Amino acid sequence: MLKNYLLIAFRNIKRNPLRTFVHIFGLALGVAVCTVVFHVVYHENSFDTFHQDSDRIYQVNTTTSFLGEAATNGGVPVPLAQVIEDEVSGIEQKTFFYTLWDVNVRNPETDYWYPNHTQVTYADPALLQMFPREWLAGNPKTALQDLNQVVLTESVASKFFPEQSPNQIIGKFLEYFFLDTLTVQVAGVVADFEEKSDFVFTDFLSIGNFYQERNIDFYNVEQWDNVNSSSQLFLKLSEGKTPKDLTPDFERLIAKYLASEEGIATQFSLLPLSELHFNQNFDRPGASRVVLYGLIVIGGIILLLASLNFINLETAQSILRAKEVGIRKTLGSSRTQLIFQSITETGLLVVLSIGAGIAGCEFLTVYFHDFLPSDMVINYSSSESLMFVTGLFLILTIFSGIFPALLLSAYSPKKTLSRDLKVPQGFSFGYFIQRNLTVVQFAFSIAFVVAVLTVSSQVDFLTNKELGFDREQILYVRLPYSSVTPEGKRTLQTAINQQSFVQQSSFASDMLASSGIWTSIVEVRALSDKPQLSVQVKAIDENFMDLFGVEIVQGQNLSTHSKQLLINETLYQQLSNIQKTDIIGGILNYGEEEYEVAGVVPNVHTRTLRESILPMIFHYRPTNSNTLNVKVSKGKNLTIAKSELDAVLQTHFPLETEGFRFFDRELESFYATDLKLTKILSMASFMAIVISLLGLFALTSFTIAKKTKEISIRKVLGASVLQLLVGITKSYVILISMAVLLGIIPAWLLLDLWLSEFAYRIPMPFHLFAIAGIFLSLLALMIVSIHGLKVAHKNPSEVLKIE
Amino acid sequence: MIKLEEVDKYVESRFQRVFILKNINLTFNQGEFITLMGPSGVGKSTLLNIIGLLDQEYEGKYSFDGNSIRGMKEKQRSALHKAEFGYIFQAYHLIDELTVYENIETPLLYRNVSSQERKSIIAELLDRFQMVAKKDLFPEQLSGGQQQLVGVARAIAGKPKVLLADEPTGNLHSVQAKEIMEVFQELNKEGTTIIQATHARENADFGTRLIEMLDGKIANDIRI
Repeated sequence: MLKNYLLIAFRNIKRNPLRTFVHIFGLALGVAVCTVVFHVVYHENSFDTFHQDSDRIYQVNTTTSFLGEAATNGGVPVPLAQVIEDEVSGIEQKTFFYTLWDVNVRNPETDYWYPNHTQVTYADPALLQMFPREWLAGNPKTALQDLNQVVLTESVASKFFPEQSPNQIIGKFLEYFFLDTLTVQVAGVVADFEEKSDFVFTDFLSIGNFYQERNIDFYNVEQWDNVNSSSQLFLKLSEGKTPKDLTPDFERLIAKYLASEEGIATQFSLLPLSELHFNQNFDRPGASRVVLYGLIVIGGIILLLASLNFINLETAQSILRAKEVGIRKTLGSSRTQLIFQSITETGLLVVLSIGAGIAGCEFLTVYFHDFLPSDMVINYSSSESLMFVTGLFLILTIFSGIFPALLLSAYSPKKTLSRDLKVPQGFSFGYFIQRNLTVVQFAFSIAFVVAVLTVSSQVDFLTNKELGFDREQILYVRLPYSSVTPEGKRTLQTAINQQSFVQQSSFASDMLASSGIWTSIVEVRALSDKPQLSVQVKAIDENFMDLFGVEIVQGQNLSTHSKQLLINETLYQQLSNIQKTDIIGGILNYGEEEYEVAGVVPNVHTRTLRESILPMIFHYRPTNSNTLNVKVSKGKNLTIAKSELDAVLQTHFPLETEGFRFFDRELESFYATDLKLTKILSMASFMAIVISLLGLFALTSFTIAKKTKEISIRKVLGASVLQLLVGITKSYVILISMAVLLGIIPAWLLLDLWLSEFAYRIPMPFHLFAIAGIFLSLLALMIVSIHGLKVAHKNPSEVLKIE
Repeated sequence: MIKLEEVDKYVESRFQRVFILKNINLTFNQGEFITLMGPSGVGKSTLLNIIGLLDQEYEGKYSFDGNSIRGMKEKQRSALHKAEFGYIFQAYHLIDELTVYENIETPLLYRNVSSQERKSIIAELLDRFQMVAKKDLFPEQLSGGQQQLVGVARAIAGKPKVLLADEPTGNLHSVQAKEIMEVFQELNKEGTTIIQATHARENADFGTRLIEMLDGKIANDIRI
């Protein structure tokens, strides 16, 4: 029986190539998108799932609220790690580690340097127990117990000590240079994780060295009010305990150790290990759940459209199969058997589509390159892949197949086998569905197109908006705090200024605009109640404003060796509301120091245009400022300038591998996610349009062919081709207009929500809505007309002769 | 075997009932070869559809082997339909996508006949109608007469007691028509009850009973 069904299905597929192509192409697009999305989602969710008891492991987070603004940090105050087991019950094991960055390593035996060795951490022995690894050499019981020890993973061990077995490495010395300088002995070699993990550390230094006397101040070892995201605390809860059970103990602990200050509140919370990958961790940005959900929605919509296409076309064509149904029923087939037959046929098409879709995945992964996690590899034959494909097959087959199957199997043999089969008069459910599915498809297409146009014109607006400063021909470099001395900076700056193409250079805490933000508080000294104002801060030198082409609108620029600051117009406005005396020349308390307001600069956009301009101070403090901004003269090629400046940098800081960067790239990176959104929406709307138009093409080819007789009779009665065409397309115009309305309204609401995130935005571009609507309507009408013209030009004598 | 009592069939139009069949009382016995005759539109096909259980929308009583059709459940009716009836159509109604062999096989598939048995039944039928060489052809590659032979072969493949034929020779020329009628006669001799609708008088000569219909009523019931 199944063989018989498959045979018919296969012959039908061959017999009607247009139908087959539309079905397989549409579904394959949907399958390809969904497969890629599935793998992304699966990839992001498969981090650190393999550890023993991973459901009981939590990262302790610290939430600090200050003046109503709360910020959560993945780290903890260092002293918490020491008292937590005494103060909080329900903990089976804890591990504390402190991550380090920009570490340079030297192998004294070979005198070989390994600069910028990033994945180093101070670790207690419990870290390697809670997240166990295979020990290739060394004693897991004693390693990291004493001072000056290091445990290496196999990959770095073979880098530091090429061609030596793990056992040979034990006991050898390595030197680590960072804020501290340590000479340590290798106490163990462990295997690297083979599974996906965010615990990327390769060098584990004895935590004992971290607690040494000389580091106490530096790492804030005894301070409860300082939270650094490097200081990491993980807990494994006792069996049966939930984070909630620990809350009362945490509250007691906070009351006991943290001095209560007005307006400041600290809270500790537990982040499940499974959530770690979705939060910023160990200096890598967290995966975004929102992006994943967005991808799922888009994949789902494309698949839905493809499915609707299928249902639509099959429903329309069901009348062609009606005769077969009638025959089968008289031959004794039950309705269930017919439904099963129809679904089998759908299943076969779905199988072909899945095959084509998976082949198409490869193209998509290329296009989506910058969306996909960089370390993701799609393995099509893995068990989760096969399960996904099976699931997709079942869902697609049943969802797409059931409605046409029900419709088809309902045909009565009495009617289908009588001489002529007419479209039923009055209300027909199949016809109703058909028209509405077309409307739904076009509505989605319109919505996507409108979204693309709006998002891209907003991005255009953002990237072209006048920011109030000069962004051309500027390079910058961020020097590491650890290795820079004031003299080093001075000689570097001198050397850079000696380059003929350098117009200006300036040391500051940052560029004029960047993704970073530094906020603080100033006190107005002129007023008796010393009101506090929250401000954004940048530390600069006297050349900074000149370099970025910002003119002082009132007062003067900063002079060298001075306790002066510049304020922006927003802050000036705020001050002038409360302060009656002169603002220029007035005193603001910032930190522990007093600064004189030297001048006012215009409001420039120092952050993304999502945010409005904050009141700002620029204070004079070149000594602690480690970002060197360089203005290059006009005619100079910036890439060449960069390589020449890098060479200068290299002679002064040989271990610095990061060179100069382009300032305008930093500005562009503000809107990287928005550009991504544009790209993904473009893809989605392209697919939606292709699927809808293909569907419309196939559908009209069928429905208009059915009207051939009617059209021929009209022609005989004297209708012109144009009149015929109007008659044919009239109903489609109504359908498409409905689709335009249905698509535009939700798109408009969503876009309004999206735009409202930007402090600076374009007005809702209704003219683009109109263009999109007209464009798609014309496309659709063109397709209808192609078929219409074909039928209208037929010789009526031939058509009517057959009848 | 088949008993119809006071069977009416009508459609409601805007102002009145239009009767397609009115007060039909008929009894058919096993082994009869009945010809329903009359001009088109007289209700022959409708009557055949009712007898063949393809149409349930009528009034009156219909019993098969003494069992009332109305009293049956859908399942029983469908089992009866499968077991007892074979159909032949004027337009042949073969499945275009299937070969001759597969067309004949289809009713057997719905009767869960084993593959071995199917092969032997079909081989026998192909042999009987001299179509062995054509078994892999598609309907459109056959002449009308040949298609109708496949239709007959398909109808009797399931060994039905009753063969219903609606204008079986309507699309055929006289030589082909005669051939089909001879096949019917042969089947009837082997014990199959045949009910055919036709408006060709010469076809009635092959049967044992002629029923003439006029305006939805029985006008004449003659044994030949």
